[in-house]
Order: sequence, then structure tokens, then C-alpha cells
Amino acid sequence: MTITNKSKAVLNILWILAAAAFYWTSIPYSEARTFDPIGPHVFPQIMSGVIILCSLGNLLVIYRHSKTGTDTPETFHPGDALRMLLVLVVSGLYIWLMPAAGYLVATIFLIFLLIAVQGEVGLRVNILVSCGFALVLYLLFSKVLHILLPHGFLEFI
Amino acid sequence: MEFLQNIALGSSVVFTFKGLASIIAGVVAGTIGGAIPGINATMTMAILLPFTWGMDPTAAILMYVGIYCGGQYGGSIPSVLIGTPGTPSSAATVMDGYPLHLQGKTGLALGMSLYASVFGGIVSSVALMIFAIPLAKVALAFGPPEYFALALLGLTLVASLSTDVFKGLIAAALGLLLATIGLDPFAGIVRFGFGSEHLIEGFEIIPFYMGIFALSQVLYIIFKKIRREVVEYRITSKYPSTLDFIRCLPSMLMGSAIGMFVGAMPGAGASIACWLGYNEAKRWSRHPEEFGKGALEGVAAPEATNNAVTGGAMVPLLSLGIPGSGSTAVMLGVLIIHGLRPGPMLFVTNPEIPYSIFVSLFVSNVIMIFVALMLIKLLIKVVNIPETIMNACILAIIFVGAYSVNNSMFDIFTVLLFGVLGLIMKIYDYPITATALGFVLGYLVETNFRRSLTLSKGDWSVFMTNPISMVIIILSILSVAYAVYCNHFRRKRGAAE
Amino acid sequence: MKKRHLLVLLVLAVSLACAGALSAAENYPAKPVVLVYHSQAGSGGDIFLRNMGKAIEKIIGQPIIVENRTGGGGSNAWMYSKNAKPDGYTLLGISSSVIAGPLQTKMAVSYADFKPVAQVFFDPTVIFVPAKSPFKTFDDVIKDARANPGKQNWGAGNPGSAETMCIEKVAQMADMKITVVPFEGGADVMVEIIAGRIDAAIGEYAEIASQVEAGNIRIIACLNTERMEEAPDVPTLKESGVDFVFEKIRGIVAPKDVPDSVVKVWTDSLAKIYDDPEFKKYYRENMLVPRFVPAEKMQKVMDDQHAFFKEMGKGLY
Repeated sequence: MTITNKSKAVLNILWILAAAAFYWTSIPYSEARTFDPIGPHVFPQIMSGVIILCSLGNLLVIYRHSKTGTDTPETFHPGDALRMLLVLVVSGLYIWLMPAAGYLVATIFLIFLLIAVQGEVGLRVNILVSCGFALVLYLLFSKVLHILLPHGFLEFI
Repeated sequence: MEFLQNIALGSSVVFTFKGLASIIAGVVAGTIGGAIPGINATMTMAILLPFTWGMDPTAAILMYVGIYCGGQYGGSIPSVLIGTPGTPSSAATVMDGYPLHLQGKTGLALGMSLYASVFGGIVSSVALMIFAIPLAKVALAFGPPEYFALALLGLTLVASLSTDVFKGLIAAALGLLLATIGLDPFAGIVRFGFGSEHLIEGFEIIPFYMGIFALSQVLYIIFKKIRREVVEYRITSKYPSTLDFIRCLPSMLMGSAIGMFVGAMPGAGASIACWLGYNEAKRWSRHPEEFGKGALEGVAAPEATNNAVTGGAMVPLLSLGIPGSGSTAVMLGVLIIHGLRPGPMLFVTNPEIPYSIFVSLFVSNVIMIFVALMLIKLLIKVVNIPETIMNACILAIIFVGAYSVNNSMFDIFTVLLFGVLGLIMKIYDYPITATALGFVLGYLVETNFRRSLTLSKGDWSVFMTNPISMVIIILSILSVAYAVYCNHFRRKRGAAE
Repeated sequence: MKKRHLLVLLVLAVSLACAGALSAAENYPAKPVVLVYHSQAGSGGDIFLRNMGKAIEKIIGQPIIVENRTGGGGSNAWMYSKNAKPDGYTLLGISSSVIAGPLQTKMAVSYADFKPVAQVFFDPTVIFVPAKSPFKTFDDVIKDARANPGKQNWGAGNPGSAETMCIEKVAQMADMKITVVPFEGGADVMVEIIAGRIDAAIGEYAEIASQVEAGNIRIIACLNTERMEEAPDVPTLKESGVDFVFEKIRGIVAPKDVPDSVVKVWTDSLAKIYDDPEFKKYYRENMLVPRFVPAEKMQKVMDDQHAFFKEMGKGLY
């Protein structure tokens, strides 16, 4: 698969939308009582303006390139993109799992799933690494750096 | 006299068990990180941020100086051994380092890269002192308009030097915009907080760096399926002799000078500097035809250059508090999370910090020799851990590190958010460094902008009536204009011809 | 027979448990006490608590642990202490920001959620000008400000900070029109004052003391009730004709439901810390002025400050 001009254009439209959202949100800030003559809304609005202008510039360039065909698209494999998305899903799952299951259990799951999703490593090595590294991190952060990690249902550790 | 006293003060911090241990830890971590293709010094720094939590600020910054030096050197190891640069800054080393390895002169190439790195690093540590201290004295007189202009110049240079100036400007403005989230510095309101108590102080700097520098890169490695060969560390020939060293001395000196200069420029960085160093060494060589086929100078020049960048890049960081690269931006973050803001005042209020950095840059390079000669076989074992396991472990470290900032899940979410943002920027070739710099400099830029206008009672000409800020602002406008011309108008003419 | 045994056992167990509960209050503290603080390890307030903790350890015979819960503009630490078990083993170290912070941003916590234990110190706040400034007394400043309305630049902290509010209050009371320029912290204000880019500022004495000694900065008034021991020549603002006093609180509070017996243990021990030689050296070096306000009077001190912040913050929040 390739990274198409269409997706580049979509990204630039997203920048414009995001910048416009910031601009719009900052409009009521001009009401706030402030110690400077310009107020809290001006700086974010200038930045939003820069983003919008440059995105329009980009769109123009993309349009011109699509006409002349001087673009060299970058390629990638859908399988790798899927793997990457799964890594993100597993990471999101981790945020949800950690408060309930506790740090140690959640992290063992995290590392195990991350390795499993990427493939290429055997089950035995995977279990060894995930349990071992999670334990090392737990001991390091909880016992050495004294961070209060969530216990979850394992109250005793 | 005052200088010597301060150097003594810096040395008294560095030459303690804690100081030296921090530097050694940094050099080791940096060398490993640098030697893994796909991981660079900046990413190593981002991953290790949570460990600075329990350290005092001097120990933390000494460790980061060590990482910076080690990272620049470590990149050359895979360049020589597998022909893949460990970091973009040692890409030029591949040109002659890999042919030397194929010719069986591995020891010669690895030895020379070590000596040149140490040489460049030491030269730049001396040069750092020569430039940073007077510059800080000058900067003490800078007011809000000058600071605004300087930070603006830094950001526009980074944007202009990226592949496309529009993308660079979007990235920089995005960073500045993200920095405005949270309590407004001049009015008592929370901007873009959406009622969330997590956003009262804006996004935390540690999860931001971890997301945009580290997570995005891990995702990118998986996305592009970047695979590396196993690095086999075997010395098959003798190390370089004194004669070899002397023969390479001119190229190393030239490389060091280039590295210093380019490093001090915002936005350029080691990945550009190493090619400049390589090309200049080739141009001035008496036998340029040997370059690319295993010329020892072809290893010495880029390696001296990329390590000399460290000293150069720290000049604006220490004397002005304005970093110009990803690595120095993370170092700024380390100081900020410990409640210190680099800049000319740091030389007055906490002289032990800048002076211990001067001393430690020198010491790091000396320590690098011992680490490289004694521990390298052990370190290469870490480098050869399969990328699948490495990626998973890095993510686990990042997440627990982000959590430990505030004991809050929100910071893990922040990592994910900026990891995805960084990934998109990488895929579409936007400069992440510009966003990171915008984020870390955002407060400085905005407050000095608004403070200038407050002092001038709302008169916008304040930036132009002040001669220093006028010159700097004109320079930054020119840099953008020139980049727009180069990126979009010259190319059109070239295509038409 | 067996039943009776069981009954005896039961009574024994109940009485033991009661005795345990009783002695828990009597033998307080039986384990280390945690002091929560809202800024990071190594910050001024954190170092203060750690030093004070060392002095208290000797009096109450249990270790004091300072736990830093940063983030959320302080609300992380304050929410945590508010919801902590009210057994007296989790207390909160406060500065005036626990009163000002929740006013500035909407938080589910305020200073009223805590039971006062004692105020122990205050940070002297002073009005200062560049050494080469023509202003010698606060009267000069007022005259100049009235003659050139809006021209005088005053360096302040964040909009919600005590310094900024004090400047506004002083300007209001002295009937002068000035420009307030916010800065991130005292160090930045100090640089601008030394460079002469701003005309006057209000800040903590401890932050500028070294520059006063070096002859770069001149103090023209302090906001305390009486003159400072270290700088006896500096008049109070009251003496200069403006009837305004502000003293930044440093103290300890507890979750609302902590038993009074525990509060008493702490109030009594806090009263004794000033003579500890090491601690004395620390607080003198850091220009902290002892001001012991026991629990029953501290509530009024906090209420007064709250009223001041609320009044000055109108329209700002």
C-alpha cells in the first residue's frame, strides 16, 4: 500500500480543523480580566493562523504535484500497519486494566500481548520475558524509586 | 579567577561517587541506545526520564550529558559492523567504516571512531566553555523583546531547515499551541482545559516527550518493519596506531570545528553535521579517491563531528536557555522538572549546574574510552535483543515512567496521544523536533511576547525599536522566506527548465 | 462448659479490641506519619517540611515521611489528603496556595475541607526597587505613580499569586495607577529589577536577600506586622502610611475528621520545634520568621486570607 496524495490532503484538512477548533475555543477568552494589553486569546489565535495558512500552502503543493505527477509515494505493508494498530489497542487496554488488576498483573499481560502481537518470538520465551521484565520494573519502581503503583486485587504487594 | 573558582565548584560536583556514577550510567545507556539502529540519543533520553525523578538535579543532568556523548559514539558501532547507522548522526561513518570492516580492518575502524569521538567531544567541551560563558554574560542584559526574538529565531530555523518549511512551521506552531493549554500566565483562566483537572497545568513534559520521541518511534519501527542484523563484535585487526591518529588529526580538527558550529545552530543537528564533516574531509584530503573505499579519515571526520555537536548544541541551551535540537530539548526538560530554568541567570543563581556540565562533558568523553574498551562486548549483547522484545520492554518502561510522574493514568493516556501524533508526523515527514521545541519553549515565547507588549503599554513596535530584537526577527523572517523560496519556487523553475 | 469458654473468649477479644482502639488514640503516633505536600521534592516548601520533619521526629518519636503529590495545580495533593483516612497518620503541609489555588481554578477541594493544626512560620514579603532607583521610601513611589498614572511597571508573580494580589491591593489603597507585569517566579522578577526594566516589585524576602546584600536591590517596605529582625531599617507598610499587612502562611492541617487528641499532640509538638539547633539554623538561613498560631486561632488566619484572595481575585477567576 502507498501513502497517497489523498491521505496527505486529509491530514492537512485535519490540521486546519484542529487549528480552527483552537481558534474558536479561544474567542471567549478575550473576556477574561488580564494583566497584559492583548489578552489570553491572541497568541493561540496567531498560532492557529500559522497552521491554517501553512496547511493551505501544503494543499496547494499537493494539488500541483498531483497535476504534474512529480510525487514519489512511500509504501508500506498493510500487515505491519495492522500489527502497529494492535500494539495501540493493547496499550489502550492496559490503561483500562491497570487500576483493576494492579500494576504487576497488568504489565505481565501488556508485555506478553505486545510480544505476541508482533510475532516472531516463541511462547516460552515470551512468558519468561513478560513475567521477568514486569517483575523487574515492579521492584525497581515500587521498591527502589518508591512510586505508589496500583495494587489491584493483590493487596499484599 | 572567578572562572577557576566556578570550575572548581563544578569539579567538586562531578568528582564524587554520585557524580561519576551518574556519568558512567549515562555513557553506558547512551552507547547502548546509540548502537541500536532505530533508537537515537534523544529517544534514549526520553525513555530514561522517570529515573531522574529520584535524583537531585545535578546528578540527573550529568547522566544526560553522559547519554548525549555515549549516544553520538554508540551510533558508529553498527555503522562499521553491519553497515547500518545506529543513529542518523553516524550515517556518514558507514561510507568508509563498513568498507574497512569488510576489508578485515574492523579494529582500525572501531578504534578510530572511538578516538575521533573522544577527540571531538573534548575539543567541543573546551569550546563550550569559551563560548557559553561570555554569551551568558551578554544575555544577562536581554529583556523580554530579545528573548521573544531569540526563541522565535530558534523555532523558525528549525522549521526552515526541515524538508518542507510549511510542514516545519505547522509542527512548530502546533508545539506552541499545545504549550498554551493550562493556566494562562497573565490572566487567571485555564485555556483549552475543557474542565479537566488534569489539564489545569497543561500536559506534563515527561509524558509528552515519551510519547512524541519514544512511543512514536517504536510504533514507526513496527509500522515500517525495520529489522536489523545481529551485530557481531569481533576485533579482527589491530587498533589504530599513533601514526594513524596523527594522520587523521587534520580531519578530526576540521570535523570538530564543523560540529561545534553546526551544533550551535538551531535545527541543523548532528545528522546534517556528520555529512558536512565527511564532505569537507574528503574535499581537503590529498587522496579523495580513497573515500568511500575505506579511508580512515572518512571514519575520523564524521565521528569527530557528531561528538563535537554535543558541546556546540549546549551553548544556546546553557547561555540562553533556548535549545536547538531534540536532545538538548530533553535536557532542558530534565532541568525544568527539577525546578531549574537554564539561561544566563543559572550562572548566577546555581553556578554549580552549568559548570558541572562543562566539566562533565570533558569527563564523559574520557569515561567513554573505558566504557568502549571494557564493556563493549557486554553492551552489544543488549543491542542484539530481538526488536520484538525490545519494543515491548520499551513500551512497558515508558508507561510505568509516565504513570510515576503524578501517579495518574491520565499521563499514560498523554503518552499514547502524543505517540500517535508523533507517528503521524513521522509517516508524513513532519519534523518532530520542531513540535518538541515549540512545546518546551512555548511558555518562554508567549510570556516574553506578552510581557514586551505590557512593558510597551500595548505598542507593537517594541519588537522593532529594540535593535537586537529587530535584527533577530528580521533574520527569522528571512530564514522562512528563503526556505519557502527554496522549497517551492526554485524547484518549479528547475522543473520548467 | 464449652459455651462459657466461648463467651469468655469473646468478651476477652472485644475488650482487647477496645483497648487496642483506645491505645491507638492514646499512644499516637504509633507508626510513621506522612506529610503530604503539593510541590516536587527539592522545592522550597518541600525542603522546609523535610527539615521540620527532622525536628519533629525527635519530639514525637516517630519518623516523618514527606510525600510529594504534584500536578493538577496542587489539587492532587489536596484531594488525596482530604480523602485520606482521618487517623492522624496522613497530614498536609500547606502554604498560602491551598487557599488561593482552589479559588483560581475549579477544584473539588478547598482550605475549608481541612482541620487546622497550626501555623508555624511566615515568609516575609517585601516591596523592593532597583538600587539605582530614585525611590527611597514608599511615599516616593506613591507620588511618582500619581504624577504619571500607568507609567510605573511592577513585577509580579502569576495572576493568582499572593504577590500579584498584594500589588493590586496596595495600589488600590494608595490610590495609584500602575502597570502589573506578571513573571513566572521571584528569580525572573529579580533579574528585571536589577536590569532596571521594571520600577518596583513585591516578592519574598528570602529570594532577594542575597542581591540586597550585593547592593543591587533596595527594599523600601515590608508587608509584615512588625519590622524584620534581619533588616531592622526597613519600615513596615503600615508605618509608610498604607494600612495593609500580608503574611504568607506555612503550616500543617489535617483531614476534617481527625480526632482532636491527635491535633493536640501535633500542636503541642510544633510549639517546641523552634529551639532545635539544626532546624533553627535552617530557618534563619532561609529567612523564615517563626509565627506560632495554634489550631483554634489558625482558622481565623486562613479565613481572613481567603477573604482577601476572594476580594482581589474578583473577575480574575
